[in-house]
Amino acid sequence: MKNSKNPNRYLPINKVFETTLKKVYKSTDYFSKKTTNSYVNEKVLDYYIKEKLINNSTIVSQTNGDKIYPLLELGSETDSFQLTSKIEKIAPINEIHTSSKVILSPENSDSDISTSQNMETDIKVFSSNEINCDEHSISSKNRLMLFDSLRSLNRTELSDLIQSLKATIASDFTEILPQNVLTQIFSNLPINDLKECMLVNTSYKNIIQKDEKLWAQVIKQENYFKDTLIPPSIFEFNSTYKKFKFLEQKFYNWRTKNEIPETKIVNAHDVDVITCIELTPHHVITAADDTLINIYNHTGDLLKTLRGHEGGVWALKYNTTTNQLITAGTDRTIRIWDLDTFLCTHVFLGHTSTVRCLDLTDIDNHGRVIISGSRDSNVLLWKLPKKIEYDDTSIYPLIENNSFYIGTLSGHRDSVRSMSVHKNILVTGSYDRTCRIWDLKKMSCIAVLKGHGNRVYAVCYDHVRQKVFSTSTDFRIFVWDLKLDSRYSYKDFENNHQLTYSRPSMILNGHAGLVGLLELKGDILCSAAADGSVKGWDANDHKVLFHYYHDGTVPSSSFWFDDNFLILGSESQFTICDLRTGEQLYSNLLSNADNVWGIRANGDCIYAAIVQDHCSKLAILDFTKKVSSNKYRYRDSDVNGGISVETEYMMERRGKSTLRLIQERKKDSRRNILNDISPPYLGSDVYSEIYVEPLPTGTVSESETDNSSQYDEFDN
Amino acid sequence: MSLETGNEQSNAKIILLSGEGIEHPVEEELINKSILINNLLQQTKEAKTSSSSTNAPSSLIDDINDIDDEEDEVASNVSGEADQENIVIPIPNVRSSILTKIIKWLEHHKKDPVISFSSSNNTSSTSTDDLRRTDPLDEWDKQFFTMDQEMMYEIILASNYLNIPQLLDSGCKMIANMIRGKSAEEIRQIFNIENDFTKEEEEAIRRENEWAEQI
Repeated sequence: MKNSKNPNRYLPINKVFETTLKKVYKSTDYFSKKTTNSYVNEKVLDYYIKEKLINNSTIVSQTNGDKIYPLLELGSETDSFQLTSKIEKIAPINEIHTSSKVILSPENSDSDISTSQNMETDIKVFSSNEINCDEHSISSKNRLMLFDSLRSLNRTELSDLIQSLKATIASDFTEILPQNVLTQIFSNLPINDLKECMLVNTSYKNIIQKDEKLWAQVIKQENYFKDTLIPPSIFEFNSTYKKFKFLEQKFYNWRTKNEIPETKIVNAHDVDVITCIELTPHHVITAADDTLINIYNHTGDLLKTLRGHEGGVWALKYNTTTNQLITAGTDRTIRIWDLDTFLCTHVFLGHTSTVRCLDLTDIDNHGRVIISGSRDSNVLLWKLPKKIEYDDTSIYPLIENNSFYIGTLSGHRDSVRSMSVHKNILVTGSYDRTCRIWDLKKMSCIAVLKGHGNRVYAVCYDHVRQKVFSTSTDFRIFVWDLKLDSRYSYKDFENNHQLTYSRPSMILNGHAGLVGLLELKGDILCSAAADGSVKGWDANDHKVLFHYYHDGTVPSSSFWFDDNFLILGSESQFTICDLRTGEQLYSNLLSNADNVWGIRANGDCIYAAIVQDHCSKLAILDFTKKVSSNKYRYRDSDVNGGISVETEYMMERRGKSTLRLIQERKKDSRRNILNDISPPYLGSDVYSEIYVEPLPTGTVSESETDNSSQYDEFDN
Repeated sequence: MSLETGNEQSNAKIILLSGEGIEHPVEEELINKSILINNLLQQTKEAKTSSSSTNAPSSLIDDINDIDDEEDEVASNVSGEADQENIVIPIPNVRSSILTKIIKWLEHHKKDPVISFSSSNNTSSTSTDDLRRTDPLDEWDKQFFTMDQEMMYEIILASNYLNIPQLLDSGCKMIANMIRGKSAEEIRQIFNIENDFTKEEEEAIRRENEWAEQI
């Protein structure tokens, strides 16, 4: 207590006393089962405390030998209060006086100790009696004793008492509060605190681990990988906690830097530009200018090469529900493949020039629909054919005779370069410097977005915020707010025939090159430009969430991102960043790739379409099989002028067959001194690689057998 | 009753009866934040308009008893006290001092936006979810919950029982704040918990969790 200047002043009653009493009183209340009898007595006692004790009067009771019976029990209500006798003596404490702990501040005098010692025991006895004994008389008796004892305390002692009471009163909320409340409490805590809580004791561990709701929420919050990115095996887990641990494991597979993913590179196409890469639940699909489409399984085995296109394949779309693949390209055809049988089932002709973009959507009156945009400046709509047993390829040379043909959206005056669709709203970006918004239900153009000074390269429709993002050659990203445009309301946009937006609502600056890649995922809009910059924008307020620059301002060729990771590819650069911390996790994992044209990822692997030695290849970085970057030691002895010099190379294993030199030491036999040589070429970005295939035994030994503890820390 | 039903409703006083039998008069506007009581009042009003007014208090009591059978005796004692004009709601498992605190909280949060109490459980749970994610614990509530653990638990229990989502949420956040950033040993001390793990067990759990420490 702060103001204990006058420790010897006896407190008749003051605030401290009152609160202490309340605390004690309350704890008894908690333990005693509320029978009607006790209920009445408590009421009386309550009154008694308030009216009598607090007014500095005496405690009333009747003494009978050593024992004290409070009068409260004898009769009913106030009649029995005979304010006559005064308790002279506190009930014998010796019987229960055993393991009392005295908590006293050092400035207390000796004489005070005895009092507070008594106090301490009294309280202990009091509460234990309360718990074990059903007889209410004892509790009442003890209470009276207690009140009297408390009265005789000074401030310091009371202060100590309060402290010790606080400690004993502390109780475990998990034993008191119901499960739904516990869930709510724990759901306020970040994952690290939950993990600490699991270390408290067995009951905490069980409560937390078995809380399905809690873990479902944690999964949602932590958002390690979206369910769509996780192979179906996840759904076999019987507990949400296990599911969380599984997802977390995947996340940390990516996250831990002292291990690198096992990398496998398989041949794809014999041309140096790979146009498409797609990841489906069972396949990885690549397509290129060589007219071929390759289907791999997730481990990189080539299952089938789809042949049929007579020109380069430029656009590719996969329909998950039916396992169908739609491809299109310079031969002006649209082909539909059944990936169960790997057969081409339909060929649609109709475009008069190269098909540049494809998309799929659902429209109420037509079901699943294919949208194709072409260099002939038209957009064509087709019904996605249902999968029936087809023996042969059905070719539809004319749209007039094609029952799958729905219609043509014409309006653009130049090549349709990109499109973005949600339900019946389609946004197209064209080389005629405009974007158009189409209503696919009515098959009509409802708005034209004019403002770009040059060709529109990329377009993104944000149906959640009713915005369109578009880019052109001028390094800027235009934001078209369809809802809040000063002159039109979104209602007009929905109802009127055709609107013209002549100015964007906002322009996002920051890139210093043509912004060729634009993608919206959730709340993040990611853009990549020819100057090597990659930026993430908050789709709501357009703030920059992250930005990254490739070395040497080489154009960004590809990127992939989710809420946690950003993967970037460009000319001989391949980088993985952690978006949570902004940290660059891995750089140059694919150091032998000349360029990276496309990146896809799921929780297990990253699939990258790369170019190496003028050939396209598929690189698979498997994070489930991480190679601990175990260091290897390679010794080379050289006798030079009669002096043997031993050179020790420290190498890091990357993948199964690649060793990377990370340190070089020369051991001089004369002086027996190890000289550390860290040549400048062993920096983090430029390094030499030694290919060892297979690993030579004998000369290369695992570092753990050596005593150089400097490297042992990397193990495990 | 000669009065219009509309008038009668607005004038009706609500009296909460604590476990000790102490009456706590409270404005209907305030106590409406409790979904349990709000629902009870709605039912009472419906009962009043459809049948005679004398039936209403007893039906109310029945509802309470459905929820908590243990307190049968107290509840039936109370039913006799129910005034014709006043609606007496016995809350037998909440003590008077706790009720006082809750009413104090309700008064302070009188002007807070009301979360829509739609009948389906789904919507109410999502609305509290939103609340949890967006609102940090406000200063006044922090001050309000500066009390010993027992009382805090009792208030949380009561707000859970009475279904006052915002108060329950504040209480839960308060306990979460007590845990946040603490080590397991510190948590044990705060809540007077014994560690029943063996060293091996503790080590095993730590190893299982070690991902998080690597960051």
